[in-house]
Amino acid sequence: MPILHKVLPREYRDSVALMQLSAALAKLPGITQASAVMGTENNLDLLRQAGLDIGAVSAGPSDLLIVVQGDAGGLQAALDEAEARLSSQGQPEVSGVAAKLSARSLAMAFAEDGEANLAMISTPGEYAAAEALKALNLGLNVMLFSNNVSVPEEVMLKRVAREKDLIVMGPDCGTAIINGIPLAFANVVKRGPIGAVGASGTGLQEVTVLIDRLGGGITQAIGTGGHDLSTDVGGISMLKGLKDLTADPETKVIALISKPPAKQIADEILGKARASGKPVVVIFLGADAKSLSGGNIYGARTLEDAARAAVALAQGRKPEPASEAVAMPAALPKLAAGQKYIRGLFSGGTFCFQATMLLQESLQIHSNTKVGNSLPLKDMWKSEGNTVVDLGDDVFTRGRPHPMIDYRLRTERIVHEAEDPEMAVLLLDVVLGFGSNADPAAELVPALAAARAVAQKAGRPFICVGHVCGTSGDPQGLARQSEALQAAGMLLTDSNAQAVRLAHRIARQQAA
Amino acid sequence: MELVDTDVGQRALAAPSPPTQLAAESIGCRVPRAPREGWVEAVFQRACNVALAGGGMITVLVQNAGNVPHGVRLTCSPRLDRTLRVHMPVRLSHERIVFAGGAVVVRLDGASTWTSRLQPGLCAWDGAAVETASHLVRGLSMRAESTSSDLLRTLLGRNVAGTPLAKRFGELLSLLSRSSQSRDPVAALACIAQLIGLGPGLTPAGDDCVIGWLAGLTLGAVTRERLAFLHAVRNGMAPLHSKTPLVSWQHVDDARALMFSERLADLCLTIADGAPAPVLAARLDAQLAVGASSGADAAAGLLFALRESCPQLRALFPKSTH
Repeated sequence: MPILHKVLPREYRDSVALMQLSAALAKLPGITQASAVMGTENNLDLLRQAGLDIGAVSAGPSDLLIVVQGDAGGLQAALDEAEARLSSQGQPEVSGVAAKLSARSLAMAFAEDGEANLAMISTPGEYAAAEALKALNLGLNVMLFSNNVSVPEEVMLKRVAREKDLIVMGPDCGTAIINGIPLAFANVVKRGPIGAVGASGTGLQEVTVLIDRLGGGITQAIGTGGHDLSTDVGGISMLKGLKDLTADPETKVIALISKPPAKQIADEILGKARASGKPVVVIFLGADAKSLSGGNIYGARTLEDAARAAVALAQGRKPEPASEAVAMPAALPKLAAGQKYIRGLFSGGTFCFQATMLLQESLQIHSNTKVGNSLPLKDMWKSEGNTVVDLGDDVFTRGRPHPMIDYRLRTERIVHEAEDPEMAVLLLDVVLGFGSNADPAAELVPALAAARAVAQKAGRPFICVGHVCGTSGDPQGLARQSEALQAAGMLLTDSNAQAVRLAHRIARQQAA
Repeated sequence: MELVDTDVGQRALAAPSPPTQLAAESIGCRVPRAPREGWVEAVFQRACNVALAGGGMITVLVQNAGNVPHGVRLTCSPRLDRTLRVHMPVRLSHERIVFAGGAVVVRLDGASTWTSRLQPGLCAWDGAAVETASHLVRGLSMRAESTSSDLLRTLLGRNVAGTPLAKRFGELLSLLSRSSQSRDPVAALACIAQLIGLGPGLTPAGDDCVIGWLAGLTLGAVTRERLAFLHAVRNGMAPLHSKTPLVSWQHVDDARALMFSERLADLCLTIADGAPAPVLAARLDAQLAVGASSGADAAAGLLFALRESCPQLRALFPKSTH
């Protein structure tokens, strides 16, 4: 098979960048093998062994060598693509004397655009509080994407914000939609009369997405960060969000989303919600929904229930009682003897939380997210019994992007799970929207095929249940993603809660 | 509450009129102190490699990067790639480094000299050192999957999809294990010659592994025999300079001089001191944060050397890797 190569003298890139480039080139049409390496003697020897023998080559050890093999027609395009990718990876900027200086501080940026009223901060945690404080002192609201900000710093920032009648969304705030603009990990949802405040990132995404799909729309979706409702912080940001949505004439219905706060904080929030005079849907995941309800407050048990209730109220209807029924797909293969456990691999922390919460009503769950009576995993890299894993845990994200962006860990683990004869159902989430992977189905479909092949070779069916958290407006294309995943055999439901219930029903049927 | 002003470094480069004045906080012990000419060989966000006429290289590092023996570390952390460019002429003197005839100047007169504190034979493998080293094995086992180091996973017996590179590492580590157990420098050098320059990136994983391995040999060189083996190997490596990128060879050459990067040396000293697990974990995380995979690859080399020199550690490795 033809081979073409190119030498880029003195082109220095790190190993990971070159491995990613090699992998990307190998996926191009007509390309069977590709490698981008420094032109050292040992690397050339390795290329020869891999069948990429380019004979005598002028590359030296400090030169970058790109080699592609495949159909003759596609080779030059692949090399061109490699060069384009390298040049877009961040060449040093030219610092001409006449060139305008780009803003290098919040103050410089604010001086350029005095109309701005929100700063989004995403720096390493140790610097984030200082930057957030600068923003607040400039009179800006803050979305603090950074994590590893200490609780005392969070408390200090939020108190400063409260004094200035500003809001700090975060720290570790992964999502928000402000005036229709998605920030960080967020979906393209329709504008409408529902305002949401959420202390859980993917929880807020799921609720806003389902509101969109149910025909509703969003005024604002305000993230608060996961610690906001702790006793230390006192729910300062949620209370501010609630206050602003109460005052907003466009917002007719309010949704509040969080894990259960401390009682004192919950009481204060519910008190303000009652006083808002607007219908307020409240979901404190894991808390008793009925005990929250009363007057203008509508308690919800799942994220889906919350979205349905909010849309109903916005349309002037009374929320219907939540249904937990789930239909079994036709022609489901029978599980083999021994296939009895559910394995949930989640990129969204709230999806993991909700799945654990629902499943542990009748199953013993092992998880890296502590929910009720769930048991910790002995080894986070290995499932045991019924296991539900949040792959966004710090253990998994050290040195690599979040699993909503980088699917590699999950796709590897999908195949490992399929090797386990005790696995009955694999449970996944797929999160679309800005910030997430550009084409999740392209990442998952080969892994699902490989997992299916592994299971079938061992005489077992491979059953995968999942849901796509996304809207038709998301850049990845909800329909395209769903079709590709269904074609790969994934049983798709409309929500995380439905996916959990379907997985449970399939596994339980086997146990029976 | 004390807050860090992150604009300090940016302001230095945002100054409207040239020259840009920067100051060095420390100068590595292998940076030549005699006047030299050179040119910018490579520029990254946080480092700039300067090739010196007549051979050798120095690296200008921002303040929040770890020291290296051939490094000049600044007092601030500007984006170097916004000011310096490849091929810029460089003049090194006692007092300053001058880029492009004075467009950027790094003052050296207030800088201290930094040297790696790792010395041969610091680790006597008492109970505390063995305990700390066992934390290193466990720590790397926990973190292996979250690094980009195929080499580390290979050493720990993890499946890395059997890539040709991983297979080659497996073969070479096996050969290097036998040669170092028998203290056979000739056989060890034959393996090292195949490791140097092996791996895709600017600092190939094989180079980083050899550097970590030399650090481990240095740490455990408690007998005359082990010390002789270490010296024979490092002396025999000189002809390998043409097998790897110039930038990477400078790091290997530092290690040949038994001068190691600050983070790798700190990790070794933590083991020698028998420090508690949280200290080891912090030093290990700092080491793993070096480069894209360089830190993890060097840690793999260190682990490999420790496994050979401390029999008590072998039980912590999968049998298939013994």
